[in-house]
Amino acid sequence: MKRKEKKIEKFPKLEQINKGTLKHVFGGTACTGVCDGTIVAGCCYYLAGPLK
Amino acid sequence: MKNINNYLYKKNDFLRYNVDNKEYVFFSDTLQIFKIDNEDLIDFFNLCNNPQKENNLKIENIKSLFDFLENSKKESKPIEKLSIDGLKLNSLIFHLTNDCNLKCSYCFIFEKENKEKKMTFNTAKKAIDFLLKKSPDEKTYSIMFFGGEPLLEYKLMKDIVNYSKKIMDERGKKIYFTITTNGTIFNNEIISFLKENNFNILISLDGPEDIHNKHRIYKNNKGSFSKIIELVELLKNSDISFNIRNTITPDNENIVCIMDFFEKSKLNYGFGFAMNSKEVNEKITSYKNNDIENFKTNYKKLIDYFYNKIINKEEIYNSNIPNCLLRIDAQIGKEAACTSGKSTLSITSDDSIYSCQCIINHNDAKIGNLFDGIDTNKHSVFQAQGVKNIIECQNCWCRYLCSGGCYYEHYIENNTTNIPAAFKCEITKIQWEYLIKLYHSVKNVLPEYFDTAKEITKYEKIPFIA
Repeated sequence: MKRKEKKIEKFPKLEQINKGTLKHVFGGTACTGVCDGTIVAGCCYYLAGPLK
Repeated sequence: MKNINNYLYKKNDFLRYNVDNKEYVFFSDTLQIFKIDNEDLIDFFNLCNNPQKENNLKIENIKSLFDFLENSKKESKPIEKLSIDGLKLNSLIFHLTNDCNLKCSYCFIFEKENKEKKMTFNTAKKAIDFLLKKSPDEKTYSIMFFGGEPLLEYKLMKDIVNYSKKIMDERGKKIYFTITTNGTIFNNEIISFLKENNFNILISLDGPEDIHNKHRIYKNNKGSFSKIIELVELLKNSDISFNIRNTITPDNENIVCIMDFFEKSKLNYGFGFAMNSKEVNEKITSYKNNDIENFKTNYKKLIDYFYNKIINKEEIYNSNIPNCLLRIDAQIGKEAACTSGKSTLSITSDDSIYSCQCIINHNDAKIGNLFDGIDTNKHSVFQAQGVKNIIECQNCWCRYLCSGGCYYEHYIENNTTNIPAAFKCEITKIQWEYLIKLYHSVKNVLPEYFDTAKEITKYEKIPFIA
C-alpha cells in the first residue's frame, strides 16, 4: 500500500519509444505496384517498387 | 468528480504487451509506444482492461494517471494520418484482357477466355482522354497493365505506351508504366521494350518449385515455375530491375521456407495473401479457425527468421517486414488502406470504370463508363471506406495500422464495402502484434537498424500518392 502514497504528478515523464521519421509518404493502390508494401492483409500486389 | 469510465481507456484503445519481461503499451489512435514501468500504471491498464474488477486505485489517482498519460501522448509528435477524400485521379489500370495462359487456383479474375473481354486501342485512347480531362493539372501520371495476362496483348500494350507517351510529351507531362505479369510470356523484343520504357515490372512467383506449382499452373496442369525462373535469370542478366509478388495461401504451412527461397535467391519481393474469393475455391483463399492457429505459429517463425537476419546485419530482400517496422518507428497511421478508387481507376474492355482492379468481374461494382463518367453514389461505396466508417475498426487496437483493410474483400465476404471479413481481421492483428514485438526486439539490440533500413528502402516520393 505504500506505493499508493506516491505523488503521481512526480512520475518521471513517460518516454516514447517510437520517435522515428520517414520522408516517404505511404499510401498507394494495393495491387498494382505502387503501394507501400506494408499492407499485411488484403491484396497488396506491392512492388513494382518506388517508381523511377 | 466524473464517472470513473471517463478516465479509463477503452480496451481496444491500446495494446498492452510484454517483450523481454518489460511492459509496453501501444496507443491505437496515435501509434505511440510507451514503456510502463511503474505499478500504478500497470494497475491502471489492468483496470482499463477490466473496469469491473476490484482494484486498489482511488478515483483521484485514476484521474491523475489518465491525465498523466494524456499529457505524455500530447507532447509527442502528432500522428500522420493519410487520407484522400474523393477522387484525385492520376493513374489508370488497363485490363487489356481477362484471358490468361495460366489457371492459378486463387485468381480473382474468374471470367476468362472470353474473346470479347479484350480491350481495343480505341477504348485505351478514350481512357487516356478521360484521365487528362479529369485531372488536367497533374504533372505525372501512370498507366498500369493488368489482366488476365497483359502480355497476351503485347501489341496493344505497345500501341498504348507509344500513344500515351506522345500525348503526355505534347503536354509536358511525365508518364510511368507498370506491369503485373505471370512471367511466362516473353521474348527479347518484349524485354527490350519494357527496358526502353522504364517499366516497373512485377512478376508473380510463389516460392520454391513445389509451392509455386501447387497453384500457379498452365491450363494443361503443368507448373509454371521453370518458365518464370528463365525470365528471372534473363532479366537479371539484362540488368533490368523487377520485383516479385508472392501470394500466400492458407495451405502454405511453411512461410519461412518461402521467404528463405527469395532471400537466398536475392530477389526483391513482397508477399501478400490470396484475395478472398467466393467464386474460386473458397478453401484456397479463406482462413478458417485451424488455418488461423497455424498461421499464428508460422508467422511467429517468420518474425524470428527476420529478427535473426536483421541483428546479423544480413541484406533483406523482402519489403513488407522492413516497411512495417519503419511505419511503427515513425508512427505512420493511415485512415484508409488503399487508394484504388481515389487516385487510381480500372478500365475494362467494354469501356467500364471500376474503382479496383480486383472487382471487375462484379457488375454491381461498376462505378461508371468512359462515355457518361462516374456515378458519384456508386463511387462513394466502392472505395476504401476508411477507419472512421467501419464499425469494427472502432473496437480494434490496430485500426490505423490495418487502416480498414481491403474493401474488395469486405464486399466479397459481406456484400458491403464497410464490413470486414472477420478472418482477415484476425490474421492482420496477429501480424501487427508480432511486428510491434519485433520492433522492440530490434530496437533493443540494434537501434541503428532503423536509420539503415531507411537508406536501404531508398524511398522517393511516389507521384501517385496524395
